[in-house]
Amino acid sequence: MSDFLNGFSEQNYKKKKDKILDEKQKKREGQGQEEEKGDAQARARKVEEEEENRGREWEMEKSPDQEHGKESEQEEEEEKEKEKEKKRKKASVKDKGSPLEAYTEAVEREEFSHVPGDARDEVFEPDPDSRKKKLRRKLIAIPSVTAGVLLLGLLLYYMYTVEVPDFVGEREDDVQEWGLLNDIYVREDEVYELEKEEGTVISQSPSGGERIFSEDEVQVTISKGPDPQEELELPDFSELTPREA
Amino acid sequence: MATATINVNNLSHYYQDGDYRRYVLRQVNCSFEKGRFYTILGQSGSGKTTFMSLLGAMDTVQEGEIQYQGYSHKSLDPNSIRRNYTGMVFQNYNLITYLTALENVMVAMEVTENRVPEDRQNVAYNLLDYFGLPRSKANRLVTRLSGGEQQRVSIARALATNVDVILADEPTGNVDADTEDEIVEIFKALAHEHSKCVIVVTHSSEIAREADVVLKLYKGSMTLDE
Repeated sequence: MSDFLNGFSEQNYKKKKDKILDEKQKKREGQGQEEEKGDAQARARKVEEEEENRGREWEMEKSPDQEHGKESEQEEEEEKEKEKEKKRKKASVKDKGSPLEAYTEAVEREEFSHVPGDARDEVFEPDPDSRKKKLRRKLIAIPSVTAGVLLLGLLLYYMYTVEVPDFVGEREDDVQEWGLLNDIYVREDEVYELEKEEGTVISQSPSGGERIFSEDEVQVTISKGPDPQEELELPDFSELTPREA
Repeated sequence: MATATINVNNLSHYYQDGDYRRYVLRQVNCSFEKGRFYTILGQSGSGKTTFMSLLGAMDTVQEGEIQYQGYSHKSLDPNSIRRNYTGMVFQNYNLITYLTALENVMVAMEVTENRVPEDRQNVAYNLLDYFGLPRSKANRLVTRLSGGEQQRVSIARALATNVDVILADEPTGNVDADTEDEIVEIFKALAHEHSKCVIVVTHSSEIAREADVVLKLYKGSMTLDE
């Protein structure tokens, strides 16, 4: 890398600044002298112009003939036109040196004919990879959209459904409590069941492990205990020992 | 013959337009050397700014190669190119508006991996002073400076990383004619007195007249006019 920044450290820059200031002063002095010269020239021009005007006035006074006046006007017009032409020529010489002018001329001359494309400034070309790109886009887009939809569905399913526990053998109160907590209506059917304790669940629908939407219902069958109307067949106690009876 | 600081080989760049590629640069070959002042001329939409963005590693090279001091852009990290090889000057300055002129320059010194003198603050002050911003102005927020002064700060910031290449994209687009002359003088001095490689993209024929080399872009092709 260059040592450019070293030139701006405190020690090095002082010398540089002094140099710059000296150069600026010299420039100013030079400009001052030029201005003085310029002023002197301007004054001299003014004096000359004034003298010329006086001369013309004197000529006009001397020859009041109208025709002569017309001739002098024509001459003046011719001189003016000549000056204008000179100025134009000077301007064209100046502009020839300008790279921008040269550039615009080159554009006009169509030097860039080797450049492909139509007359517009933009060069269009069919993209050779456009088919591949489209196919690639489709190959990426279709599975990703499908996967996205599936994921969203799964997410919603798990958000709005509840897993039903296995209630068989559980207490009726526990089932009702679960129903209240999960916003599920629990419908109870009661049956006599000799072998199950009163208030316990014998069966359920849907069965344990399945998922249901909230506000759905779960149907459970609750045991009412033994049926008082049921007739039981008694064993023959005469054949049993007191302990067995 | 000075060694080329930047070499551009078969550089092409396009923008995707449906099934078509709109080429803004086609097979551009050129090289830039230290100590010379280059201008790139071209009509609007001819690819000047795209070319500048590629040189300054602000856009990705699609086809072709750019070599920075002999190293291909493929072997260099874009961040490294921006920090250690090129300094950028923008038309709208792109200074950090809540920092002072001095802080803007010092931030650039912090990020570079190039060798920067230890007394950074003094160097930054002197750098700004060299470009016509004395200490009183260097301590002002950049938003409190005129357009010309802000552009000087951005030139100082571009140089604060001690890089050899200064890229300027329409640097005089927002300043008056007198300030334009002063900025051109700064660029000329940087190229000829400090042997920097100065590349300026412009519409201005005034700047083009002052340049050592004028490159012309037309329909994405580049021609040289030395």
